[in-house]
Amino acid sequence: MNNRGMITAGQLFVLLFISRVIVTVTYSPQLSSGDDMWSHLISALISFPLTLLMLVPVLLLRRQNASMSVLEFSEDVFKRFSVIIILFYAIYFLLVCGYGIALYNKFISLGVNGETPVFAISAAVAVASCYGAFKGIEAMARASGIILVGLFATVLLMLCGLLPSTDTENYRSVLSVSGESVYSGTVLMLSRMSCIPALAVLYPIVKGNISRGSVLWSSFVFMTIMLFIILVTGSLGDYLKYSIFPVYQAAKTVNIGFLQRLDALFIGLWTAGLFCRLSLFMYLFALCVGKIFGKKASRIAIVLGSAAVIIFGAVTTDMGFRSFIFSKDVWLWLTITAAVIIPLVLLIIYKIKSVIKGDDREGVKAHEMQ
Amino acid sequence: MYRFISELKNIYGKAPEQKPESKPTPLTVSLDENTERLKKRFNGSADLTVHKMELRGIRFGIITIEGMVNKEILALGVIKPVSEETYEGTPKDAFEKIKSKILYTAEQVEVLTLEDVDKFIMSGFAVIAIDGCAKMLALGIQGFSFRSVSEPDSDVVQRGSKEGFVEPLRINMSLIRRRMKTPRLKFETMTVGSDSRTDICLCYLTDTVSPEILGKLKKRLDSINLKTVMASGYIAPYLEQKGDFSFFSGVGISERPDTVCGKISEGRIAILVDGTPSALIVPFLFVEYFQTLDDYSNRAYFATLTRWLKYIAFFIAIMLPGVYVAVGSFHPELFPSQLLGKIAGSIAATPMPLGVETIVIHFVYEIMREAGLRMPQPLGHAVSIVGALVIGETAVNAGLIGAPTLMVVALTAICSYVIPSLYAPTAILRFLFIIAGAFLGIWGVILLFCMVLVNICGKKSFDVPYTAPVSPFSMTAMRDVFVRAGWKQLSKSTSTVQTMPGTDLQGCESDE
Repeated sequence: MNNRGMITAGQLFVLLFISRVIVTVTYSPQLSSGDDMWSHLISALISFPLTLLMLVPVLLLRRQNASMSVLEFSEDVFKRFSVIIILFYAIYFLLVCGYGIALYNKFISLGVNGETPVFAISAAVAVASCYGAFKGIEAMARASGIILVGLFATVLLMLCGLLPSTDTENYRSVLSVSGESVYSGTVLMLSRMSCIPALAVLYPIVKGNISRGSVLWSSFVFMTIMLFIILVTGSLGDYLKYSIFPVYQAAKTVNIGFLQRLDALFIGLWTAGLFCRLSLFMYLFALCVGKIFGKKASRIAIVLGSAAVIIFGAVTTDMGFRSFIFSKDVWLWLTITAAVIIPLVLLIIYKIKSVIKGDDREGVKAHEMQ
Repeated sequence: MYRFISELKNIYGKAPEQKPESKPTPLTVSLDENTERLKKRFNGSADLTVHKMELRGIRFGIITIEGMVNKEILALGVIKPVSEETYEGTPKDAFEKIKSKILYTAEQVEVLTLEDVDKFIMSGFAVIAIDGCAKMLALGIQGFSFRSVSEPDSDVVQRGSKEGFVEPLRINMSLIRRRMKTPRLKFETMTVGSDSRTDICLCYLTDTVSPEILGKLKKRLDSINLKTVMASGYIAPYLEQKGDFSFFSGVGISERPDTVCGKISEGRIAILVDGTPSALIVPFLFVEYFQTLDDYSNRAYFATLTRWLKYIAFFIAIMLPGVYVAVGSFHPELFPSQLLGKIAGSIAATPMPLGVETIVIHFVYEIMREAGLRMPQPLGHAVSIVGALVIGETAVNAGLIGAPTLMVVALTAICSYVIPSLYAPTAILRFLFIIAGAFLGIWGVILLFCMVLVNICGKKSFDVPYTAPVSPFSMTAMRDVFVRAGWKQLSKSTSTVQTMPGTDLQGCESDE
């Protein structure tokens, strides 16, 4: 793994945007207790301000000391016991990789019905991501800039392909959707905000305006989510309920002139996006391990982490959408703990400690003056 | 085999531990002693020539290396005037007279040590020694034969100079100087190779070059521990960033002095190696593979078109066979319906799996290419006929290989010649993409593409990101990347390579 390099805020948020959007395109009604995708338009509108709120503790922590990540803050605050927090983040990042690979396996086995063995593909994805993590954050950030162009082109093609096939009758009033469905969608969207803990670890190596970038990032993420919901609902209609991966299904149905069978593009887009996501989180995992066991251990951690992800993928291939792997409640709590609770606790204790330190200093000064 | 390995070891192996610079051996007043010591140093080598003569009581010696000096100038411009003159006084007076009154060669250097005598005679100088004088006079009358300046074979342009670099270093320096008539252009010579002692020359503009990059380059050149440097390719690996493995090179090569001058004016450094008709250029970025001199001679809109053709050709050259194998083997439904029948029929009719078939055809093609490069020119046609008719047509007619596969390979082969300097990485990557597609389908191709992308994105050439200015992105630089803006636009601001986005010049101390 390369040394920490400086990347720009733009590069970081492009990387995070791809990591988040790639999870969006894997939307499955099965993941949100079989809800209607259309209901989640309201969920997206609710999740957007909530995401901004979730960003606040991390941004405040950064304001305290921009050169210290959440891991360094925990070292500063909890001293030796910080290992627990760092370990939590390491496991969290590894689980995010596991979630990604498990979802990918589901897609390959249920969505594509290809002839390639699922295990071989997920192993290849993990190995490639391992290489990405080895090359370091700078390489990943630069590569994601190029992948983003591909992503935009794909989205644009899908937009062109799906727009003519959308039927306004497929849309019903957003006000008629059930509250339970909206709640379920909101939980699903917030539980997938693993990019916020990633930001909490990465911001010291980023130059540029992170606050503005965060707002733009979440705005674009939710705009993309809403665009997908509108497009896919309009083109698939009732068929949406029976589709396991609606976005993929919609891409498959495109048939306008030379724009046919965009599922190949979808597969490419998802694989490239997943590569970015897994590389990023594997890198973060290695960063956490390196904090505990030293820099050399982080290289080994990438290899071991990849092996763990491959095994995790193999074990969970046959598990259903109801299993704990895809449980949105479990993920919501994990994400809120990593993105909000820990940074908030660190912020409060750090503030208190600095206030006490300040009082001590004032006391010493007064004593000296006397 | 053992001999071959030891030969390789000899070339690439570490030079023996450099002994601390021994004290130079001063010349003595005795001509015989000096020449004997010199012969001993050369182990009686046949090409060392010592011509002794006696004129009016003073003994002279002219030392040269056979074939390195111009014999006509030596006879008429050195021996004749020296022998026709009268000498009075001491041998030292004779030496001064020869130096200041008799000989008028452009290059005259006084030599005081035996090591310097070695150096000068091996560079084509004639050295005059006088018995009774503890110094010698080196005269620059080089006359070895070399190829005349001609159009380069690989770096061909439609509009522009037809001059290319040749083997002698000094001529290459003059080719650059003729195009850059500014005192800011500096040539700095160094020597590499403990046995070959090959002269190399750094060329740069003093006010444009980055001192950090220059310092780092010198440090890397100093670290070269080769015994022999026969071509610029020997030193190129030493100029790459350490631990930065990639199929793509961070060191550019050009056979054209005009291209090199263009690069120098952008803050880059050219390295000329004596005996090599090409220059190395550092730092070198990925987008430079797609820029040729013709782009700047042609109209902007056409240059933009050709540049895009190059980008597309590059992607076809590395990915098309891989994608074809992946789709044909695992996702045939992705072929357009009109095409599906024909391709499926062809795949079904051939005995080998599609992946193996494509690899075999590529392998045969690479063999034919290699044979075509090495064999005598007249036999080239024979190879073409054998390749096209015997292997190609007959194999398709016999049903051994499919016509669509052959077409894909042929298209790929043509595309790979659009950028000849990228042939080596393209050939390797093409095989890797075929293997990835054959084993993992479209997923394998995409994953390999991502890995290659990360690989080149993580690469740096002298601390300048290899993928700049695409990623990290620079809008102003785009006028010469995805489009080629007109000269009026290009000349509005001049940018140097060290101002590329993401460049983090560390200074030569923190090289590795």
